[in-house]
Amino acid sequence: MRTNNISYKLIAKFMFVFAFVFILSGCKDKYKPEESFIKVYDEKDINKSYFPLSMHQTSDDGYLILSAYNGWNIHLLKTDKKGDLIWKFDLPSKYVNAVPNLIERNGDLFFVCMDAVGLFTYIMQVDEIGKQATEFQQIPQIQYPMYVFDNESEVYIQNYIRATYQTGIFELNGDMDQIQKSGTVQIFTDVEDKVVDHLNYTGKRFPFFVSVTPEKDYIIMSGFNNYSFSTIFMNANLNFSGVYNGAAFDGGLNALLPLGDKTFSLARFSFSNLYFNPNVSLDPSAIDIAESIPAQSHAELDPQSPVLIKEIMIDNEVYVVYLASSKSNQLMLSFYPKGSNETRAVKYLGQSVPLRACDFAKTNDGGLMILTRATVMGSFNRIATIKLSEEELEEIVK
Amino acid sequence: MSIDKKVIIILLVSFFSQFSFGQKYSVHKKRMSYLAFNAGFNFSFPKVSDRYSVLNSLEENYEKKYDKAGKNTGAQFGIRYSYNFTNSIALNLGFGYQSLGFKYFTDYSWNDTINNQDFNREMHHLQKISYFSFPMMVRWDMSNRQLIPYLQGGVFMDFRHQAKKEIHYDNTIDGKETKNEVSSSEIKSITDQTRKFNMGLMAGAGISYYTKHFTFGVEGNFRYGFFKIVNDENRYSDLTGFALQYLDVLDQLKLSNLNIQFTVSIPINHSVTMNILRRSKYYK
Repeated sequence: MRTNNISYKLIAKFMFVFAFVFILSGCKDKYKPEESFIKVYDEKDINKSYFPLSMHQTSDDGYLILSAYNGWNIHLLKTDKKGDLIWKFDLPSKYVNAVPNLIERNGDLFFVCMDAVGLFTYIMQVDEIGKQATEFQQIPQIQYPMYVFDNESEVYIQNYIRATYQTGIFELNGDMDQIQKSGTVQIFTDVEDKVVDHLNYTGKRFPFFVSVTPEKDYIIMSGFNNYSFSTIFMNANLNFSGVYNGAAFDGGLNALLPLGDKTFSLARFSFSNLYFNPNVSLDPSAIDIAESIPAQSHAELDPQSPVLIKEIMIDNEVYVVYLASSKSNQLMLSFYPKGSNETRAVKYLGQSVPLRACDFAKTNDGGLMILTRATVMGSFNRIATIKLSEEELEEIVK
Repeated sequence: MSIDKKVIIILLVSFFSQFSFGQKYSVHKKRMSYLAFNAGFNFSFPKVSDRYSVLNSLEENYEKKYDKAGKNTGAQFGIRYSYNFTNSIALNLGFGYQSLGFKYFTDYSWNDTINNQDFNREMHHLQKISYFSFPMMVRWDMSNRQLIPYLQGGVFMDFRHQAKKEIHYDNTIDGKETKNEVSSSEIKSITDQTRKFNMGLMAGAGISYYTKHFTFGVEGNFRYGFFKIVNDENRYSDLTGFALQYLDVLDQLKLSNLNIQFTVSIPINHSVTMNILRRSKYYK
């Protein structure tokens, strides 16, 4: 009888545990698959090679991706918020050389490209309903556009002026239908071969950029100047103010983020080395060399690949985030608290498949979307996206 | 279930029932406890609810092709305690370890329009998920002879221990591993990509042969897991592993399985003195 009592008690305990776990397991069931993903946008043609340029989140929480393919041809791709492809569009061959970045105006997206024959500039409007892009503006005065920067009130286009060997910068009004100001700097030498290699993806891709200080007192551009690849400070009237000259065409700045009050986060390169400084003071009226800017070497990173620097808030703290590519073809995200030189976190993405940094942005759901070029099967360059969820971001910097 | 299968099951049950009627002894095990050791193999039935792929295209869907249950093999072993309320009704409480396997293959093809030479890649994905398992079943013995067919049913709880994955790949798309081309990835953990817990219903049939000191048996059970097994939140978290290199990400699925196992059990409360086996004439 005693044995039976023990058996009953044992059975009762076991059944109680079963019932408890049954109830408990029914309580937790949360699925949020769209918050992080990896997508590679495939193309069956082996001979098609893509180079993603820029990405922007759309009003439906999807993403529009601007890319070049097979040299300077232009490709648009639209995904939903889970990264699944909705439509894609190859622009007619007269439109070439799309430049970073995508511009948003009143919910519409625009990009800048070039006429294949006349070399002048188009502003194209993305037609999401028609799944295409249409001409919005022609700007015959601007040839060889190299970069576009949207200040949300003005738009700046950097270009190369082949007739006078100059780098130009043009300020367009907010509606992008008028040139308000322009400025130039002298290169003193013909760099058209370098420009053509850059545009056609047949040689070195120079890290052209334009940026504006938060106080809007200086416009900074990285481009050809005085026999070198330089970072030039222009005042609000687009007149020359100062310069940090690169080591001829083998040094200079890859990226720069103005933090305000003449402090900057920057990445600079010198031959095969890449250097970061997330918090440095620069003098906009200085005439100096880029290599004099103190910065920490990152020997593992590839200076020929794009470097992107953005300010991102994670878990109520503002970070300066760098995205770069390693020489072993991984992506590297570096997180610095704003105003600090101390690295808070570093995250490597990828391993065996070559990845190249192209763009990244904070998403509406608090995550981070990375645009990259993945070399699938070690052979085919394809557009790829890596989305990290807000929780993953917070985990990285924790 | 087809009529043929039903007929086979009825014939098997009838066969074993007839066999048991001819036994010399009857089994008396009311209020007796047994401890059983079991081990065997299993076949898994993945049921996909949501499909995911790393590659994305408008022209093609990249759905995985899942292997049939015969190729989705695994193994299990464990112990269980059984208490007989009557001579024919018993409760089984168990603890075991089981490994469930499921396989699928993917294939990709790229066309070289200039050199007229295509590039193909076929990948065979092998997944194994191991669980600590706690089954609880009620068993109905269909006779009281030495050879007893029985039916049983109940619930189970599975706690994931680990999950691993390996990929075999070759360059010929033919649905099978091409021996002179095949290469393998390293075996990688996908533990974080799978959910920690599952539970469900199980039911099965078996047959036991009773002796004074041991009982031998063989049984088959079908286990239906209630929950999806892939952790959606970590599906793409493997940023340095298979996702980009092998263009692989797990679908969402439920995993049922059919296990076949052999059991050896011993009575744990003085079976000999309590005289489990009695000649049939006395038992009447």
